[in-house]
Amino acid sequence: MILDVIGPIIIGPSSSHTAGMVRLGRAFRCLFSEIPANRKALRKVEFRLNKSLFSSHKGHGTDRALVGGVIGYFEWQEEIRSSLEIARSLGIDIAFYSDSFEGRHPNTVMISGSSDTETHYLIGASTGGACIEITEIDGAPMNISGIYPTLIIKNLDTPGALSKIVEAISTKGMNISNLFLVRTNRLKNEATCIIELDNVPGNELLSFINRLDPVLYVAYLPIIANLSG
Amino acid sequence: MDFRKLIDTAISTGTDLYEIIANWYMLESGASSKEPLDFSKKMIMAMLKAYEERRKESVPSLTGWTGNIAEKLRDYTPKFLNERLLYALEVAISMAEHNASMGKIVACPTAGACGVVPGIVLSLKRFDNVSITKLSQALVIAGAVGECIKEKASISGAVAGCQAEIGTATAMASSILVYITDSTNYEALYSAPALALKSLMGLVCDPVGGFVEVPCVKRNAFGVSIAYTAAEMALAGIKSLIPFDEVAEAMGKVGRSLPESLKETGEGGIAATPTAKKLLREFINRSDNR
Repeated sequence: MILDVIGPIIIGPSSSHTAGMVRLGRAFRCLFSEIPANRKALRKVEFRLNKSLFSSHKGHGTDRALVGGVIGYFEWQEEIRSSLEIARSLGIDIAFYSDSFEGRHPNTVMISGSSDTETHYLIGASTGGACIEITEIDGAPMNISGIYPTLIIKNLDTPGALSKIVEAISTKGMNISNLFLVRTNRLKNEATCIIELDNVPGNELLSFINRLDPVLYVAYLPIIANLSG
Repeated sequence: MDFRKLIDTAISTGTDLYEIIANWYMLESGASSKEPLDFSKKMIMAMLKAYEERRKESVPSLTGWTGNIAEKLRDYTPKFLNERLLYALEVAISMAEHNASMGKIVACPTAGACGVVPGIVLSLKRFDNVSITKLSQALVIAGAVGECIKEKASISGAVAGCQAEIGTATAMASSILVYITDSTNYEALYSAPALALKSLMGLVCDPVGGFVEVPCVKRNAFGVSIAYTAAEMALAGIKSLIPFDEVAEAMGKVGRSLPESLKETGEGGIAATPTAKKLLREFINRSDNR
């Protein structure tokens, strides 16, 4: 859209190596259900950067950007510059590695990490002009760009699971803009459901879905590509 | 979306191009047609603020390779250029240097190319007293130019080289100049971005060490001078024989055929020169010792 071509306001030096990376980091953070309430909940985070990204990550501030996002800052906040120091003071273990993601976007990064109770990973790319593309979360392939409020739901792969989830959403008068459902593990009988919404869901809806029988886990990704900085 | 279609709609309905683009935005996004103008205003205010901040203090970049170039232009009396162009170059470099030192900038269209559009916008404000509202409308036009390039090619150096970054910024900036000068000169509005983009066709992304510093910072100044040249040529009635939409498509194809070494990897072009390698080694040694 026009707006992300004429903006946004960001901390430099690179909209793809810095700003987009802050957004990917922030998306990863949202996968942890306990984190919004507790900044210190994250214990350990590892970043695997596609080779060319890795070779330049220090001079680009990519490391500061990813960590800044993971600890909850936005791409226009000056704290990004000192995010490594802030993470250290929060006691979060951080590590960077070089990796190779063939057949994916050149600016692809994999973020994995854990809190005391949860472990998640995310693969995504910063595609330029601060735009992002998330291509995989916890074994589920997808293609989302963070422009909608998004629900990531892990559920049992049983008949009627999807209809229960969709019904809960429609009861709240909400409209679904896009929906993907993939089976992620036939042995464990698990599937992941990705739902992009037109409206921002309330906490009430999130905990209602969380309590549904077939639902194992719910993460809420607010609009990541938020231009209102 | 074809830029031509937007222009044709403006001509056939006798409506200002800004209004056409604002309505197109409304239809595409479902948001208010006022949103692009409000957003543009915010971006222009942020550009002004970033320039003021930079003038207060010149912080060196992450590598220390750049940081005082804008000052040199500021204290210089031009031998060939006029005062306006010199100022526009200085603004462009100030923004690019601010970006290289992790300053707060407007990624218009990207951080690496963040100097070109402010160079044009701030020079129009200073030398022609153009109002913020008028400049914001012009920035919306530039946004449509950039969006068309983004759809047909890319605005990312890693995907299509520097032609996609400085090239896009320059095409956008040229349309701002034409719109401010004569908002109904549709021939020139369609030609200027095509002329600008053609002149940068094939420009590779070869940053030393992969960092947005050398040659990125200085290229922002060249983008400004090409934007002025493209706008002057278009306003003089010089038509781009190849229409803008096709030039954008062609740029994307060129970008896809560029080898990876010339797409932001820091492995080709000037990044592969002996001096570049030496600079990089020195930087790595310095940062390891810290």
